[in-house]
Amino acid sequence: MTERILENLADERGNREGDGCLLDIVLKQVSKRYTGRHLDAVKELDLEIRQGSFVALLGPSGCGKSTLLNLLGGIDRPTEGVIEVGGLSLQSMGDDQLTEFRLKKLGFIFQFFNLLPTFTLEENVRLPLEIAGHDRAFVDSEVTELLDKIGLGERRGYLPAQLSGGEMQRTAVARAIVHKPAIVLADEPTGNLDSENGEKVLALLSEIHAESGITIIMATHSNEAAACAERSIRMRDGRIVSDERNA
Amino acid sequence: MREFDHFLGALSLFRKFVLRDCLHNYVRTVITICGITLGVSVFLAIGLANKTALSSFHDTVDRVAGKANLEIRPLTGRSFDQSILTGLTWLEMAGAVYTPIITDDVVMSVGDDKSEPIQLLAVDYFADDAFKGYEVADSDSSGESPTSLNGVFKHLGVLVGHALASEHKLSEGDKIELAVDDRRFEVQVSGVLTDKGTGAAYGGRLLICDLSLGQEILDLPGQVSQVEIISPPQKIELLQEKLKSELPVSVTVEPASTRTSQIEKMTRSFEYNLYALSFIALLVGMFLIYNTMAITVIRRRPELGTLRILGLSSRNILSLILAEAILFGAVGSLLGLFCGVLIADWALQAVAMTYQRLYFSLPLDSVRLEPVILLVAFLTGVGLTTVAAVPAALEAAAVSPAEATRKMSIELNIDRWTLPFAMVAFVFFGLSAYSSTLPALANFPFFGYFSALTCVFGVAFLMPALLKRMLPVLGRILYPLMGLESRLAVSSLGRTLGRSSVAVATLSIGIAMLISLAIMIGSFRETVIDWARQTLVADLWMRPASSDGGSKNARFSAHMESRLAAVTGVEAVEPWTESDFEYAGMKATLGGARFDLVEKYSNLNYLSGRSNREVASSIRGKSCIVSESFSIKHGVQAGDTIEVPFKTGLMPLYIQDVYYDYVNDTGFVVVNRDFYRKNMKDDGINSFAIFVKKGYEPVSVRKRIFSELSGQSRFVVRTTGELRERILEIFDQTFAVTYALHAISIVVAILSVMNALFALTEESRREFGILKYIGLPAKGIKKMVLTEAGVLGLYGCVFGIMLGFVLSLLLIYVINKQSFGWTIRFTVPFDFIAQTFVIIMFTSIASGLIPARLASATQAPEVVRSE
Ligand SMILES: Nc1ncnc2c1ncn2[C@@H]1O[C@H](COP(=O)(O)OP(=O)(O)OP(=O)(O)O)[C@@H](O)[C@H]1O
Ligand SMILES: [Mg+2]
Repeated sequence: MTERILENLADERGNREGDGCLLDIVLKQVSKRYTGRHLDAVKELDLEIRQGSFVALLGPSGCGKSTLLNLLGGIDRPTEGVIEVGGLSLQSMGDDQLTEFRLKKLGFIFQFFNLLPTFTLEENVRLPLEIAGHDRAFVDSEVTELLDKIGLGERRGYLPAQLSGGEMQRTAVARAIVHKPAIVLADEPTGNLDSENGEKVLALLSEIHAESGITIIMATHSNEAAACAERSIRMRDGRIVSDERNA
Repeated sequence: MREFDHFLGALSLFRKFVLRDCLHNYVRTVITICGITLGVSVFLAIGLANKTALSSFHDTVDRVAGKANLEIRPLTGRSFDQSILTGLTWLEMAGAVYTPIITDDVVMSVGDDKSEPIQLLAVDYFADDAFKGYEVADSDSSGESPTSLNGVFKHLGVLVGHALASEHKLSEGDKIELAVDDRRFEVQVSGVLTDKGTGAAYGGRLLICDLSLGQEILDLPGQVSQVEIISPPQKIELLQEKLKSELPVSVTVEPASTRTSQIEKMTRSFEYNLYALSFIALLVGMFLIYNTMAITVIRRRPELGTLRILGLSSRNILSLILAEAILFGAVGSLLGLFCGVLIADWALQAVAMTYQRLYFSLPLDSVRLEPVILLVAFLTGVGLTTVAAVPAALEAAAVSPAEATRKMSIELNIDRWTLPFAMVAFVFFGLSAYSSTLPALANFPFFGYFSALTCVFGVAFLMPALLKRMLPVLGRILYPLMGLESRLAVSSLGRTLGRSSVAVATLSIGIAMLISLAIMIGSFRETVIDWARQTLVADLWMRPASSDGGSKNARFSAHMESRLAAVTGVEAVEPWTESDFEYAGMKATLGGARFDLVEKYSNLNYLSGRSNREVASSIRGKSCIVSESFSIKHGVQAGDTIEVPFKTGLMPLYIQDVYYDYVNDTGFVVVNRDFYRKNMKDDGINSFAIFVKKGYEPVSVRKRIFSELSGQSRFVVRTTGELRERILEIFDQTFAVTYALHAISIVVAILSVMNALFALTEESRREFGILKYIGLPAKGIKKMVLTEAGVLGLYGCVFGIMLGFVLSLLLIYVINKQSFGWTIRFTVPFDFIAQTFVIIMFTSIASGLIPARLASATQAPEVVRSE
């Protein structure tokens, strides 16, 4: 028990007060080619993303945004090159270590929400903490606090099918950050929402970023969405064509 | 502490991820659990029935033997001369005690018409008390009389077993009428035994009397059927050796326990075949589980991917899916235990007849609930369910987190696998073909069943390739007939080849089981009818009344033959005598027949194809014919010589030919009657075949036989028609269990159709939504689902019937042959197959109705909403 509290403390300190280089992301000559394809979806990419930054990935459909996010999350493995997070190479990790890495350090948000249909809103949000093995009281307080903050407290008992698209995506955001990950990867989080709901989600992401200093990497088609970020990276045919700081 | 939290966490995940899904898809959950329940309950019921039968036998042997650790029994016939006892006095010097007994079955008349076979046990009072415990219930006080056996000294006094006494309300002084051979015999109740000790032997359905009264009742003067010996334990082997060397070869000296192991050996084929049949029900249940789990995993791939992204390891996922299967297995098996116990009594009644008729005469009243068998059935249910879920669980564990990022649940890309699967299928077929040629293992057709199993797996693996070829063909045929929806249905099945294959395979296997059993039983029945028509050529058949009541050794005395022959209208009388003997440690039947008459009047069929006349004329002296079962069971053929124990000693008998026979599976050796009489010292006659003179009616001759002979003798005379009917009655009773399994396989087959359809329509909801969105009306969607159901049913039937044919060949030519040694002529019950086809097509389409309603109710917006 005490062991875990210590561990949690260490985790939180690492996440929040990290001295910047702790979970920096570094890509060196990364290429990804899907089997059966003859073009690289991502080609010889060099990229560095500092801990705590908010990055938008832009570019036309098929340019490789999702592929890049999957590579960063250890969901897919690059065909060539090295991806390091916090100085650790993702390639060197086995399946179990990658699972552990995702569990502790990453949060994911998808265009199609990917909520578990048999779990209520609250249960979806609790899941990452429960998988990590936190005790009930801790999970209760963390989740209640978060849901109240996001304004979903009243809907906590609903199943995903009973929620609106905006509510579903905000639930997905809550699930992605509830365990206080170091990095959140968001693949077109507003792509399936109307502009009003889209803005709500973006505002939520900005707020979280401002408060906690989580690294957020968000693929998007919309320039408005990209405007929330600190840095915009444009891609085309698997390559980076521009990389600029936002005003 | 941490482990406990983890456990709770896993439990809560299981509840939310698995249980809620099961509840949501409750129809499929119920169907799946029903499948397991059916399998387990059948397996359990058969197990309990078999176990009860064998343990009753064991128990009775123990109770009759009492403390005896050695027995002298006849190797042939039912008794031996008690004069051999005079030579045994040295046993006492060696510290052993011994006592003779007689046991045989007699028939007790109950009421006017009814009769009931019971066991008569005659003991030597002075010696026997040392062997077994007797307890007589005292009618006056609750105390037990220590001089419990005193009753047997009363004139014609017998002690009555408790079950018999309570059933017929017998008490001291009551008279009991017994039918023995063709006589009647009246005895008097001199006490009622409690259900302890010997009184509980034969399920409490026995009479105990003094040895001399027993000899009188059974008309076996100077004969005993067993000598029980209590030897000092360290001297058993020594005594056994010495006894063997001193006693005639027509008796054996063995520990009582060898009788139990002998009966176990004899009944093994019957027992294991029942198990194997019940196992088929489990197997189909396994395919149901496989189907359900595979489809669940395919459907939930994106969710599984999401769980992986959220931090569950593939091992966690594996255990999650296996836990689901174990839950199904546990719930299904528990229900199965419950139902199994409920139907076990029925199963016992169904198999008791066969056990009693073929192997031993014991009353089998009610099932004993053996905890071990309950446990085995439960574990088998859970174990097989888990095994069946392993492929799906591995599949689930291999879902990569990347799949969460894809919106649609994707169909398992089976295209790549159709070829390798087909190759695996042919390996299975090869194995199947090869193992069908292998001989039985310890009289059990292990390889025959293995062959059937591999054949089933082969079909399952070949299914994707078959459907890939066949679906487009059907599409082309249906399109002009039924329009667009039919083409959509066929192409939708084709796109989800993995799921369709599992569904069709499951259905085919259910149907194949149904068809193969039907062909096997049908062929067997036809064969028996044919055999009866050819072989039973006499006009009338006569046997003692007690024999008809269930007493096996009932005989007429020899003078009946001439009296019968003297009745007006009788052309010839063919007597038949039989008695049991031991051959190679197993029971068989030795028969004595008048081959001069067989040659002239009868018509036996021989394996060699030689004519009856030719073979029958050659049977005299030390030559014999054996039945097909005997030949197969002991691996002997025409031209071989076998050593058969007679009362006069071991005789080498030359086998002239092997004849077809379906009376029992222990087998017959038949010698000429003169030889039999001389060497078995047995003049009695078990039955007569009576040939009526030309111009006489069998029925009127029967009347005459009754009026002339029934004064001195009690007997039953049947016409050939009546006898054939009786044979079929017995046949149907013997196969009652198989008929029941037959019915169950229909239910399982229908369950698998419904299961598959539910899964498929559940899967295609999104597609239906899109179609509706595009403009296909609800009616069209209904039609599409019903067509899918029909197509699945059709292919299930076609492949099922084909597989059923192959399995029936295995059943008839390998499994049955090796187990029982009967040649069965393959006949196809076309009407039954046509009927099955119609029923399955009907239920397939009918079971598509609910899914069709669900599908057509799918609203377009559901397509857009992914969750
Ligand atoms: N699993 C896959 N197998 C094969 N090719 C793929 C796979 N996923 C993506 N691709 C291909 O890789 C390229 C990059 O795809 P990616 O999904 O990364 O694009 P994207 O920028 O996310 O597009 P969008 O904006 O439409 O989401 C495309 O050409 C796509 O067809
Ligand atoms: Mg994308």
